[in-house]
Amino acid sequence: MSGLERRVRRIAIFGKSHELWPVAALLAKDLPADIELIVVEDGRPVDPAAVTIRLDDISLARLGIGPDQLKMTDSAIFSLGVELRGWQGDDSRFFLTGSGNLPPILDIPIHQIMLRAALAYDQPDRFAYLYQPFRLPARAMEAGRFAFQSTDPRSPLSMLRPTVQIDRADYTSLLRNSVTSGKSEIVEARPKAIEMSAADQSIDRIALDSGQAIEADFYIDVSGAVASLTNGFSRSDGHSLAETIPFDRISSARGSKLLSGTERHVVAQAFKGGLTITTPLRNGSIVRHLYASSLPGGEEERVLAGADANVAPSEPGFVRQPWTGNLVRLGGASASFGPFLSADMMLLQHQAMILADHLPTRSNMSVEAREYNRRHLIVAEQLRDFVLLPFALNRRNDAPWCRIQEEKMPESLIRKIDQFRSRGRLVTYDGEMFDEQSWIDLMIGFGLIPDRIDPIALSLDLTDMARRLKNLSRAFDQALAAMPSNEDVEP
Amino acid sequence: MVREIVIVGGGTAGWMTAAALSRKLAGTRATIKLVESAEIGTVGVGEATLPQIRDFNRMLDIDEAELMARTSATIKLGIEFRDWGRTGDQYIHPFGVYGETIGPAGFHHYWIKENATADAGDFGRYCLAISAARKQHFDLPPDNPTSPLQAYSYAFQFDASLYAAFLADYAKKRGVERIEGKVVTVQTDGESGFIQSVTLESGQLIPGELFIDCSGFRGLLIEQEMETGFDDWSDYLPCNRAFAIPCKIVDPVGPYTRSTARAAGWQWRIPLQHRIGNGLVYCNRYTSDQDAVDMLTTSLEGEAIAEPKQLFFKTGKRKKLWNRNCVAIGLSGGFLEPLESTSIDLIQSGILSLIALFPEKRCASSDVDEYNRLMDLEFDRVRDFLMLHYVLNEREEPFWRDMRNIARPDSLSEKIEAFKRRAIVPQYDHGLFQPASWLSVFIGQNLLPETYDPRVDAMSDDDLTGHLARIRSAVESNVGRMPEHLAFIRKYRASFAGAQGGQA
Repeated sequence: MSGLERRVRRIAIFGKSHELWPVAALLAKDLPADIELIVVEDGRPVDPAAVTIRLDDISLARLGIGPDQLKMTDSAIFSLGVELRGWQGDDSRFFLTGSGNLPPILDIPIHQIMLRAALAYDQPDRFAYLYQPFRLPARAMEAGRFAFQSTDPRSPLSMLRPTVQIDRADYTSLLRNSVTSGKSEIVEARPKAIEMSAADQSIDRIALDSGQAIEADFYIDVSGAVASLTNGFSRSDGHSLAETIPFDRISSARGSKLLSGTERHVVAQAFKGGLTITTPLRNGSIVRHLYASSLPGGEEERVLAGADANVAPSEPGFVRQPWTGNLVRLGGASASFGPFLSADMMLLQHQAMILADHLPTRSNMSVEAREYNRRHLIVAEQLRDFVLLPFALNRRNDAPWCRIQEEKMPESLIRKIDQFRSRGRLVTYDGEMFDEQSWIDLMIGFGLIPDRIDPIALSLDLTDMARRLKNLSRAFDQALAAMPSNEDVEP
Repeated sequence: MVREIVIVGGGTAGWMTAAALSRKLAGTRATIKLVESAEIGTVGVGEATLPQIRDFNRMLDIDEAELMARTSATIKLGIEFRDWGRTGDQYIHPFGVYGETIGPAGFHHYWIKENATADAGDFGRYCLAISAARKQHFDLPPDNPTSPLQAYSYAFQFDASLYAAFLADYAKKRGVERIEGKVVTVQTDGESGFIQSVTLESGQLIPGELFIDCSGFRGLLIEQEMETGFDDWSDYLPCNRAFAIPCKIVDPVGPYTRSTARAAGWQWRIPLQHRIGNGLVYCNRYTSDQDAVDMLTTSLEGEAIAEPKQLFFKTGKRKKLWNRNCVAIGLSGGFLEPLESTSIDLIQSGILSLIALFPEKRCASSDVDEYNRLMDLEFDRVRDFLMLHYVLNEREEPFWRDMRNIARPDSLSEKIEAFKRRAIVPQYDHGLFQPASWLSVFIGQNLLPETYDPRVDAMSDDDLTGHLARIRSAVESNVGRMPEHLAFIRKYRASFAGAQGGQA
């Protein structure tokens, strides 16, 4: 090791509580005793919000947080996905779930077989209908059933990918409490000024509004307060999604009561001018509206958001190089995708894992930065594409939804849509975050009917296939019937 | 959909393609014709394979033991590299992983720490596939391994010409029509540029809708007719010639291929059941043909059983492997030297991508572009991995000194720097070589990282030493329970029965 390169001994992390602890808890858990973690927490109240996290999220596993710990909170509810309501017209409903891969039959994906069946009878519009029986997680969700994922790969329940809906304040507390005392120094304050090194444009120290100053070898900014104090860390390398998702306002409010027993999942309701995301919790619900400020008038906006709602601007997008010098930006400091599909939390959890795996060891941290930035970009683009897909395929005829249909989508997403539309094939890239089955389900559910059958599916004997498909759907029916209702599972 | 498929060229690529399409298109009305000439020899690339070949064979529902008996196959658990770092060095690139999870950081970070301060033992001792290869043991991997220490895969070392013959039988039984003859002219549509037919020396005209060029280096359709263009990678991988020669077996053969660095290239040794395949790959700018053949023939372990055969090649790939209605598979599409047994695997990738994107008559540009994107990615990543072996050498001959300083793609430079400084290993989903492969070469060729994941230091030194000792012991114990490689072949009923043995 070069004598000129200082070892990293002090790491300081800054941010609002809800973004700070998903990262800080992960770092605190595994750092050795000779690396000090200073947590500078901006503890001011934030807008009410709920987050949805997959129970198989790797960072939950790393922290040892499972269903039992989550059940201990006041708000946690388990679910199987999110309902997209009104995206294809006012009465439409689509249940979007995580899902294991459907077992192909004779190497042919089931959606290809159902497409062949639909086209054989010259009824392409029945494609989604024919495919629906094989969407076990979605059917369970629609029926208000719930089960945890089975570890037996032969069980239909192995298809399930449950999630937890939880008040983000509860989740923050859970993470905060998971940190063993003494593993980190916690300071409640906000950054006020930054001293940069003249030599290499790295941060020397950060003064806090409490009068204290923090000196560290490596700085982590999860909410943007540090980056906003410097000129060099702006969003100049940013990729904006404002043109594609023209909802520039977001409101947050706490709802008072639970939805009905069968509707304990998140509902993302499209309406003229925006999107309402309602997350039921055990002790109430959180309602967030995303809308275009140009559409509702002042009074209409107040009615929409509610008199007590907090309203803030929404600027979806992400930066491409969040790690520069000895500062890395995560969470809201690096990207914003909004509450739809809990994308911001998903991003943060992934970033936290990537950072934990690429912590710098020395003052020259360019290698770690380059790898982190590369992986961050993969995650951000994956999230962007999956979040954008239902917007791109929406079939509403009111503003601004119909305009979104015409927006140019990213090349990677266009390739996915085009290949599926052309021949029902799913394109995958390195580091796919979402289940292949979810992509396929979403495209079919949103009306993409491939122009042609994959030629390989033409080789199938449909008579024999009918028997195999029947066996599979019967197994799914039986599994569904045996699943308890959602209410029975809740504590 | 396409109904008339014409494959130009037999050999490994042609018959693998024919076999796969005959299987996957069975039940459609597609016809498959394969044109080959007994007068044109095949290069017979790749006697050694990668574990993915087993997926291919499974797709064809081929019985593995029968395949081994028909092709004189032995088992392959990896490739041994000798003298690639410094003279006297040796390591095995295995078809398996190293160690198991003992903390939040990757296993190699723990080994790196221990190795810097104590005797962690050779990195290969933490890999079941390597330990088994060294002891010449083998058994089938468990279906459901309970530990990563039981997880490994295997491939085959076989006679590629026998494999092609085996697949020819398979394909012909499934309706593939073999046509003997040389293609002399190609007819294309003036407007679209699509190939419409090929004409043989005999005058026979063979029409088609999709043409698959398996004609070897010359690229009869993809290049000579369609002028697709070639990305020459000689600046990255300058070896351009080889001699190949088989010899008799002297000692019991182990389940691995060997690659030994030589003054201006490297020498392969691939043990089959009935002979050993040998060859020397070299760059003619650094050695003469005579010196190369002398080097090869004087270093054989057994008596030569044929004359040396010389091969000429240029590394690189077509600018488009799918152009209009012509798909180049095998050497006609590109060639990367056989250092990591990628030739047959690149054929397989081309076939599987073609099946996944099997076209309509008009060959939609979205399908063509996607195919080329996938294959470009595959070739680029294999190229980087092959180059890694050369640029990390520590030898003193002019060829090797130049290889250390050769211009390299940024994608490779970044990977090397990331490992050197912080033990970061390349990781991607689409591509042949996964982290264990990169680790093998990095560590095997003495690139030890300057630092490791700091989370490793959260484990006490005693715990770390204990974990590593336990893993070494578990690996040795598992290997000890395996039968000897050749005993396994006999027990598996996979003993070679002669070139025609076992045929229906």
